[in-house]
Amino acid sequence: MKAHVIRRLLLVIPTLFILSILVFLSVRFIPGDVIDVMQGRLGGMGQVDREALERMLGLDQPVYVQYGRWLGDILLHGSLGRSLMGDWSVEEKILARLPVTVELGVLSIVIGLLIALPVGIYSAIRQDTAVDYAGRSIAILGLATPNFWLALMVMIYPAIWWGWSPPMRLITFGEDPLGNLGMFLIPSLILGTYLAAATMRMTRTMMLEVLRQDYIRTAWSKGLKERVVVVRHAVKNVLIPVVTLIGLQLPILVGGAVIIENIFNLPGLGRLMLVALNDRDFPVVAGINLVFGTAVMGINLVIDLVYAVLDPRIRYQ
Amino acid sequence: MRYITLRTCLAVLCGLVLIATGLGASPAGEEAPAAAMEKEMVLDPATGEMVSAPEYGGTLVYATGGAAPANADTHFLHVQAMVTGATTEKLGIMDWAIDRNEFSFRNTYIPLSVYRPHLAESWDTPDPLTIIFNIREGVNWHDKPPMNGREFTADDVVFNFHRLLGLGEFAEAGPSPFTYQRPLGESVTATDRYTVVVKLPEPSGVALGQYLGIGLTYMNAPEVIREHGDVKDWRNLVGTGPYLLTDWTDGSSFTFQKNPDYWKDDEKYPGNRLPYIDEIQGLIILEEATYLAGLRTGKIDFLGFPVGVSDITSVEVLESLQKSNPEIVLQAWWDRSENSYAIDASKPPFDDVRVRRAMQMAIDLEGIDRSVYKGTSAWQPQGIIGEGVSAYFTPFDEWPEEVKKGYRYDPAAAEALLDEAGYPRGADGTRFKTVLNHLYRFPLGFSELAATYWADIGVDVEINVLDEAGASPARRDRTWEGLIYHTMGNNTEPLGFVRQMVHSSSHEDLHGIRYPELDALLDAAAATDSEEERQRLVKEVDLYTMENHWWIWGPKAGKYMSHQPWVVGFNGETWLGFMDRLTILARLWIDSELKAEMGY
Amino acid sequence: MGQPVVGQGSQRSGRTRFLTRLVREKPLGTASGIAVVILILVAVFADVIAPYPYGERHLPDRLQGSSAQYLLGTDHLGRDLLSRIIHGARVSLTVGLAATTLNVLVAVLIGGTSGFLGGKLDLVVQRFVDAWMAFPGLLLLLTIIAIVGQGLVQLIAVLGISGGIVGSRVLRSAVIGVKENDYFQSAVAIGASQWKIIVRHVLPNIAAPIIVVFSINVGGVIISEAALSFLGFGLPIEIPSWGGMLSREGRQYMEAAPHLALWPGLALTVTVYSLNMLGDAVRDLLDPRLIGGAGRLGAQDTRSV
Repeated sequence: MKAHVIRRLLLVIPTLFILSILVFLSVRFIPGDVIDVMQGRLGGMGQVDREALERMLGLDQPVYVQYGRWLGDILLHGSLGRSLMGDWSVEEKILARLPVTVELGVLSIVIGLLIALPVGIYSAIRQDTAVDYAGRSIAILGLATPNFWLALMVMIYPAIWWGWSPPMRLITFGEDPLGNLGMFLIPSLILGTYLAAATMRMTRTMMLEVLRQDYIRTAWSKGLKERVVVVRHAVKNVLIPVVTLIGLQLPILVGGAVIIENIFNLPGLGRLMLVALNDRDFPVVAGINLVFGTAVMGINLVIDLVYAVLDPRIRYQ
Repeated sequence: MRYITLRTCLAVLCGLVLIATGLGASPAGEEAPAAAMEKEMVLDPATGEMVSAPEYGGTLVYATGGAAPANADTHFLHVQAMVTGATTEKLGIMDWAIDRNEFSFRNTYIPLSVYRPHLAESWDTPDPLTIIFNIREGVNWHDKPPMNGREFTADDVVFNFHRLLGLGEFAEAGPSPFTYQRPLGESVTATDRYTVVVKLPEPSGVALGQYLGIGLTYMNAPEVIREHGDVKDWRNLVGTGPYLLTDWTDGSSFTFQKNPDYWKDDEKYPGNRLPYIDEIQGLIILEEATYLAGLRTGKIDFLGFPVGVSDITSVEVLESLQKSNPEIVLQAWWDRSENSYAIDASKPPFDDVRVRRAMQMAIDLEGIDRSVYKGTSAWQPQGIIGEGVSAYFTPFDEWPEEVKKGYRYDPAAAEALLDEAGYPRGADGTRFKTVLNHLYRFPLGFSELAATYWADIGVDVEINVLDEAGASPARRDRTWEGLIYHTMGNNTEPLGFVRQMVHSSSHEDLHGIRYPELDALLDAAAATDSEEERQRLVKEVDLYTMENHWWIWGPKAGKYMSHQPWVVGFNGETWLGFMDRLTILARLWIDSELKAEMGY
Repeated sequence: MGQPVVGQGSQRSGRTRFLTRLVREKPLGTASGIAVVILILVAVFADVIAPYPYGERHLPDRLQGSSAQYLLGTDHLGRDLLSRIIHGARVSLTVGLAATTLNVLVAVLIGGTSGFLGGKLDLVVQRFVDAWMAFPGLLLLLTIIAIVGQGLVQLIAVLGISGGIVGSRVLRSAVIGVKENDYFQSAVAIGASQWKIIVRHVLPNIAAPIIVVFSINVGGVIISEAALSFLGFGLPIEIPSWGGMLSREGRQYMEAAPHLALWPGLALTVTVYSLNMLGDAVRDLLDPRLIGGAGRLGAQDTRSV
């Protein structure tokens, strides 16, 4: 067990290293840089002093030197650098925006589970009945309808028809907990239904599998009381893979957040990322990707380890 | 089966719409006019119309889209004024009280003649190498540390100009990296508490205007910059302006509180100390659907150019807004045609003027105006300079008949021209393929439409969408081919803009060829003392490029600013000087009675 | 020369049996299957079915609702929406199928090799896969498309390779599962050649998870294209894709002409829904775990779907 944990932890190091190169380099291959953006903002009416700006922003150095400095800053000072466009500290900004994205993510996952688990379990118990079809259809429709379409409809039509719109200005949890939840509810519902489909499917498959075990069939046939026991037992079995799946869904969630944060005007990391990508603000894009990537790896690592503890047969291969 | 279900769904939806429109009938509807009778009204001297009398207090919420400022220091990019523009001020400002028939403010052209003293009480150019600014007495910095309301003096101006030019204590740091906007300057000195003398290294016709009002000449507090190195952190921002920036929630909103000790009276109503509104909130909203929903539901009071990229640009959205919310006030303005393109005339097939002319003649400008813009666009061709700068503008009717012909829709003639130029239709009906490089933030509809018109004459045009950062290197390094997005009919500083587009010394060479004759004309225009001569020369150059089809003209669509009816005093003004947009809000007031009547 | 033919008849009857079971046990799956077949037919015969060329402009008729002339109305250039949606089916299916095929190839190549050979290679390759999977999906796609540019081939390549790297995990586990199986061990023991082992034992045993996982992926790819379009990184404008229609003109004219978003949106939803329901139905029938304890092959792999 101990050996497994150590091995798993050691493997994270090379992966993080690869991730750091990936996030640092990828954004630099996109045509244009932040100076071009500044030039563009002048509206064709002027010119920026490219050389002076390159010196000022450190873009005149070779890429490997820039990477070395960036990595050195992270390892030695815990700093993700400064924004090229605004000259603010990247890690401070990420920390400031993180709560919004985390709240959106957690609420979406909770809503996703609230939809997926009952539907998945019930669908499995009543396989190939109308209830199974209806439940699954609803869950899959959540996946099959593009998020942004739903989000835009929620934004546009109620405003035209009833003069109602979701809140425009961020309400923090500290200010007004209910208002805050109200603001996050609709975007989380949209993201949550999207996530629910995969979880529902997983739950259903696992349930179907468990329900086919001989001992369960026997218990099932004995009557209602047993059924309750069975469902409980089966659900326990289902939860572990479902948790694993949530870990794997995190990157999808982050992607979805980019669009949803924009439409519902939530100042989270997704929105920051989109703006930074447009601005070619390299340290910001790299910083956000690194934080996301590390978080996803960390959560998956924890899930893996917990999984190994719970089910000693399954060890990392 | 599925179809019937769908139809049923739609019917139910339609039912909901009907109910909703019933419910949503404007609560203000009938009572408003009666109540308005008793209300105190005053004459707006700029428009000659009666408006509800100015009142103090209230809150205004606006939404700003597009590129939000990255920090609060205009030294590093003029865009920062989108958040600092009501807090820091410049030496000059455009005349808010001017008769709007004389100068409409409905474009972004800033003639020096409309400039009025602001932080400077007056200015003088005793010789071509000297500008003297007399600084206004009795202007105080905000009552905020470290300034604590001390008086604004000539030394503050010297400090800011030194920072801009990289002189004095900024010799080592160097000038602002934005070279175009930086005026020439050899030295800046304060000869007494209220006098600043600027020495130029060579005579310049534009320097005075630049010192008065470019995006980099906002007066920042010297004490703050000496302490922190810059004013990138908004918490350190101190100015002399009508509002203090009291909160900036990153990526979400700005909050401004009234400066109770502001120094200036309303230019329209002397005796009324500005500003009127107590608190202004700016919401950063990037999605058009979102800020429109906010406008419809009264969560947002103001949208449009003065507060950022939140104009309404499509006629359909406009109509839908007018239908659902007839109370919203809309103000149209035209600054330029974003439906125009520059042609790479250095390579085949566009090195032949006949081909370029054929491309223009293939487009049914009037038909597009009728169908797409419902007759609201300025579809008649304009040159580089638009109708808003009338002295430098030649109306289409006055163009020579030969030139006009090249801009009339005539696909048959266009095809004949292409045949003549040696580009016959191939077996698949295509004459040649080319690329249209479109800028992401410009409206795409016209580019798509133009491509179908070109397909009609056998030219296969592929649309390549560039984002802002990708477009700059493409233009700079000329890595594009075919056509590229470009603005025409620009209501902006005429000589500078035409030079930028045409002169060999410009960093941009869109059409790929240089004409020494045109350079000579433009140089003469820059050198001459006679304004009329300058106008004649610029018009000549402009018409020459139109005659030779360096560009393809597309309709100039109107943009619409929008606000709630209780926001009073606004007449569609864009700005009061380069980037002086937010300061307009300091001159507006809220009709609280009307707002309450309407249920908000 | 590979496998002896076991007899056409038995294979055909196997297929018929499968179809019969599908129709009898999975009415919704069957309906979805029919929808998918119709969709494929529409895509293949788009040129014949579409009443107008998809790019044909009827400017005076722009933004009209449904009529006899234009069954689903017209878009902002007066192009027939029905024709565009019919051609959109072709685009969406092309992207979906091509990217998914590439998915399978990449996944088999990376996951299969990595899992089959194991050892140091596996260790190194898996670190890259880990890093790739930790990169937020949509952001990664955005970045790559910004680098390679917009185009049909680029989009297919990006979605295909990226999805394939993620999918390689599933394949790897499946291959490792097979490797640990008794019959595989015995095949190695008798000294069968590597290729024979792969063809005879590994491929057939991992075919089911591949089919199921990737049939569902077709829908995922179509949705991804729509999301990329929304952010301005989708297919070029000339190509009539549902995602493009929905996120460009559909979004812009959502107030004045809701049909521009409604029809492409519905087409997309119905297609993705049908593909998923069909995939689920096929899985229910094929997955050995779900047929009364026939074995635990591939038990781990589907966990990461």
